[in-house]
Amino acid sequence: MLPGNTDFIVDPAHLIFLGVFALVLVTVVGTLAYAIVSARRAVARGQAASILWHEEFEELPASAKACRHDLTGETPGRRCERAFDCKGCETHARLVAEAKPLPSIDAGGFFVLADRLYHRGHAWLKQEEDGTVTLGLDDLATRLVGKSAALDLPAVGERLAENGPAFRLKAGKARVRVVSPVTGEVVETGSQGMGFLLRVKPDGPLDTRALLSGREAAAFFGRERDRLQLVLSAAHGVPALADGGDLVGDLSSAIPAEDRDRVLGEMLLEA
Amino acid sequence: MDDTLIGRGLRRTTLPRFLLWLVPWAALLALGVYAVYLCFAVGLNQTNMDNRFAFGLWIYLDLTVIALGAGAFFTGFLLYILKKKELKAVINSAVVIGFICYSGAVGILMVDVGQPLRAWFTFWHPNVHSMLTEVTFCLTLYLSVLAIEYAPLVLKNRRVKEVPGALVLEHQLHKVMVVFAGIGTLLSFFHQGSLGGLYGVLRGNPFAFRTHIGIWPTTFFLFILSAAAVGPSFVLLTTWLVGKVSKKRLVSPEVFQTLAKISGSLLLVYVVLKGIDSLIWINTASAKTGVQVSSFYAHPPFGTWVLFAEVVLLGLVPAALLLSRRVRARTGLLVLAATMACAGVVLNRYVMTIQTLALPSLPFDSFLSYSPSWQETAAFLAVLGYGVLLYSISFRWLNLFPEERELATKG
Repeated sequence: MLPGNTDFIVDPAHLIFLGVFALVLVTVVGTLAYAIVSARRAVARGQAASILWHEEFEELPASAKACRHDLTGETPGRRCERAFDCKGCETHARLVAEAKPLPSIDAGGFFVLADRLYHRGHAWLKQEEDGTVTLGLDDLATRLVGKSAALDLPAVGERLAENGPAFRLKAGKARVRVVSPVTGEVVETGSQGMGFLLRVKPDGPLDTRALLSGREAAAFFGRERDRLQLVLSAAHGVPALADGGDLVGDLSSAIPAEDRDRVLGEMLLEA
Repeated sequence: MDDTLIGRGLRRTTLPRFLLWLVPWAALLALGVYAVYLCFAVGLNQTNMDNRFAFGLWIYLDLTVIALGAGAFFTGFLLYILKKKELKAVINSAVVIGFICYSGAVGILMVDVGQPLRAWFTFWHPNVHSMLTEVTFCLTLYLSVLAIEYAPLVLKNRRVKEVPGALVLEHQLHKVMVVFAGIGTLLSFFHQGSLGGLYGVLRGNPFAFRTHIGIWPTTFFLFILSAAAVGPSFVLLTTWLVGKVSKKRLVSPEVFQTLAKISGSLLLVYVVLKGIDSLIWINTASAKTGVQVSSFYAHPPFGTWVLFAEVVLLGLVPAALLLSRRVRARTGLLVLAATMACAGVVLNRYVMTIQTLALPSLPFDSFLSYSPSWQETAAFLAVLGYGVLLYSISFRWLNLFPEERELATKG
């Protein structure tokens, strides 16, 4: 039936039959090739971290996607639909322009430092005088992962992308990545004892519009304390502040080992 | 290693228990592989089929699993094209089931043809007048589409997604999934139909021959409709079964109800059309051949009860149950109705394959009986073993039910 085949006959039935299947085959192969080429291009353009972050964000529970203005009570119940990228958000721009005074804020018993900018994935960023920024884990994350957590920091010279993985940590069976609040090159690695984990030279002018500070950060931590209670309450009935008291200092030891991975993943925004 | 492959927040049994669960299914698969080896090494005389009874257990299996696997294309069609978002909760599982059903069917077809090394002949020397040629082309292409639809599930595995670019490829594949869903629907439409058409064009067999609409016999359309109707029921049934075996809530009750409503509606349309088709067949198509319809049901065990069971007991009754709001509110009854719907199509494919060939079609013919050899049965069961193995592995390491984690958190 086919060319080169002794049975081949050129008639409408053969041509329609083969034509339809050839078209389907070409569409399948073409679409697959398009997806592969698009993926390669996205990686080459450095968009991988952004895509990865958006994919992760899509799978996060609704409670983890609260808008920063929901945290402060300005837009109650509002969910973020931009993967915490406030730069292009019209609502954020409008509310910042209105600059209404924020209500009093409860930071949920966590330290909120005035010189830090906080990412919703629990990394902080501090602008240094030499133009670099230092990154570290905020108070809640530090207490969650505990002192025995092993850090897997990127080497000097490696590049970080905003919302891409900054570093990974391992606490017992839990393995989780911490999201970077900045795009740039790692120029120094630190440790918990040194007061920072990474020193990064940002690419171009630093844009911190998506990060939280001051009272807004305090509101974030207050809400995160509530979210942590919800996440913990699903873990075999772990006591979750029913009496309204403060969280214990070493949260890591209070979480059952089999739940640590899930709790850390949910709190550090890794699906 | 095993822990790091399991999705975050998903609870799975211990590795030794999981491996123990796999053992009987692996044994079933191994026995089937041995039977297949015998068929290839010794010949098709290892089966109880012959020139007169050329379609046996294997073709019946193919027809059945392809009908039940229709949940993959139909759920994809409903989710990606008709935008029924609530079906996102089961699409991954439906794809895995579809892949298992179709790869199992293709595997068994290769054995049935008997010379797998010449499988390419069907593509190079296709007989465009044969329904089976169209089935072969569609099956091959659709299995490729299912493999592409399966790939994102693997790429989203917790460890695999750490590979640079894996999640980016998954993201890009997801963006074009609507194209694959559309192609899957087109291919399924034609091969489900052609499998039915295969029997409807048997002019020399008055039991199977049906009136034509255009170039297609009515069985072409009835097979498509019945597959689309039971596909969602089979997805419902397997989801419930996996939930029971794993002791987990995998989807919210609303998802079951949506699947039931879709399945029930389509099943009702199918039963009505099947009834009309049967009446036309009794009064027209079969009458023209001069054969009394009652003679088709005069050979035990194929009595009229078969027709009653197929159309009423396992057709109309489950359709009514699935469409009843009260039944849908009770999971037990819902599962029973879905099981009956699936059983109806399983019976339909059995009747079309086995009863068609068993009945005498010429005056000097006699009623033929056929029972499969152990090799045929072992190869048949191997598909079941393979299916459970692949599904179990997928369930353990891939996120088949996106709602599972949230439902577990809610308790």
